[in-house]
Amino acid sequence: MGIDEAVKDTKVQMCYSCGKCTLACPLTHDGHIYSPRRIVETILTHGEEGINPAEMWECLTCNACSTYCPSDVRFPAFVREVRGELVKDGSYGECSHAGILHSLMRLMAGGQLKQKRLEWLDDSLETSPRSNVLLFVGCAPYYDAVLGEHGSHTETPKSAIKLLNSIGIKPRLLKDEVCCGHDMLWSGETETFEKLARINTERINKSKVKKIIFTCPECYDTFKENYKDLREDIELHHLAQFLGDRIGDLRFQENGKKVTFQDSCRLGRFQGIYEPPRDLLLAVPGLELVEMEDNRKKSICCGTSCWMNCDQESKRIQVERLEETSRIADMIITACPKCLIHFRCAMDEQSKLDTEVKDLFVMLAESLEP
Amino acid sequence: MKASFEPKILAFCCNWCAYSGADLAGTSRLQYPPNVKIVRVMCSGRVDPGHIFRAFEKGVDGILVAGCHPGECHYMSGNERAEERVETAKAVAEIIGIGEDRIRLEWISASEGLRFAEIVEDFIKEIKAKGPNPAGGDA
Repeated sequence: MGIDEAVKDTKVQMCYSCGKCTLACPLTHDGHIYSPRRIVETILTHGEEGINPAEMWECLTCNACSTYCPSDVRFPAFVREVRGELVKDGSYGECSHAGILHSLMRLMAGGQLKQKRLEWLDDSLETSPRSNVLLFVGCAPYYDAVLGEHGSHTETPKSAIKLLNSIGIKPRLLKDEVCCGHDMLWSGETETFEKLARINTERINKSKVKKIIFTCPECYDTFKENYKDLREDIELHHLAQFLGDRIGDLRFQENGKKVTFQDSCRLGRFQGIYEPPRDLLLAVPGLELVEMEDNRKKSICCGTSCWMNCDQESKRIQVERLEETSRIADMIITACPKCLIHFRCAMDEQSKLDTEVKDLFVMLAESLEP
Repeated sequence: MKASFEPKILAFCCNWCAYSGADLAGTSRLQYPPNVKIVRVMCSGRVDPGHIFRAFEKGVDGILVAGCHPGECHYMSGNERAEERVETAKAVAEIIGIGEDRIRLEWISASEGLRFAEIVEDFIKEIKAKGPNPAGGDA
């Protein structure tokens, strides 16, 4: 898609310069302004020449701007399209972790590697290769290897299986699943994304799967919005929503913690799932849920996306969010592995922060009645 | 396996020990197969798992990370860091299906030209037996 087409497709030309986006943007604060309004205006005036690549890579794509936009400009989608064009010209964002996660995605997109991605499964977890409910594991096994210092990430799929088992579902897991491609799509590597999507689509379509359950909001959003060739009769659910509809079947034991919930951008602003995670937390007896000032659609991004452009601004956003958490609760709960990793990373660097970060499903599985 | 398979090996050599060792192998006119390409880094601890997978992505068949012997690092503990990072890379290589034995960490001092040549030769033999990088690629 060229720039002109992207302008039309994402309704960028509908911007009437009110500037709400700038105020909503988590990158804007005292002394630093990130203005989607100005970026859009410059591009509308000067066309392709008005694009400043650095600004395009800086956007967190958290959708706060679009949520407030009275004219429905889809700024993050526009940024995504422009990034696609920039990549074609050889401009990239700054990759974190020396680009290892991006390399792994490209390697998976080759489709030839025989991964050992289910080594974390143990006998206590019941799965069934013939089940028509698929649990899409996502990149957790890789996070354990690459980002192990921030805790175990396969705890999330393990907890997801425990929760599903407790309501009588033995999910199926794909041993040759590849990355959903979210980060490739949002960092402009459209071709790699399409390869990954094709591999997953083919492997899932030829199975008898009827439902796919996701623990990662990014995988869920990507499948829902960007997997065009997935068999039409397959239902897609985020686990929070899936369990939220079956709260009556879950049996929790007392847990006296005071927690707050971080709405991740893909689950909240992108997919509008705000209440199910809260309903699940409130179903745990004794658990107290308090809200941060900016919650639900006003939630603040975890500071970085697509493993790119992690910088001082990212850290500032994370630390501010965690400071608020430590004032009001014992623990911040999130249903997104990226939020979890980013907050834990900030915690490890800032020992003064007195709080705990936990995945929603790990929290729920721990609270299950034995 | 095709008899003509010639593996592509990338060696990250630290400036102070391993690279000098490789240099000595050259100036001593030692013979070793030409499959290895050397990248000089200031310290083996500078090699990130990301660099290793970037190389695999580009079709390299084996990676050698070579630094100073324990206790001899020019930067005190860079080689210890290299050890940790290579462990991480190996764990990832296992999960993604490239295999941890395509990554090798060795300590080579500046005076060990012969050791450098022997390690390279041995590693190439090992990778030849294993066959090409299963990810494909076009390095």
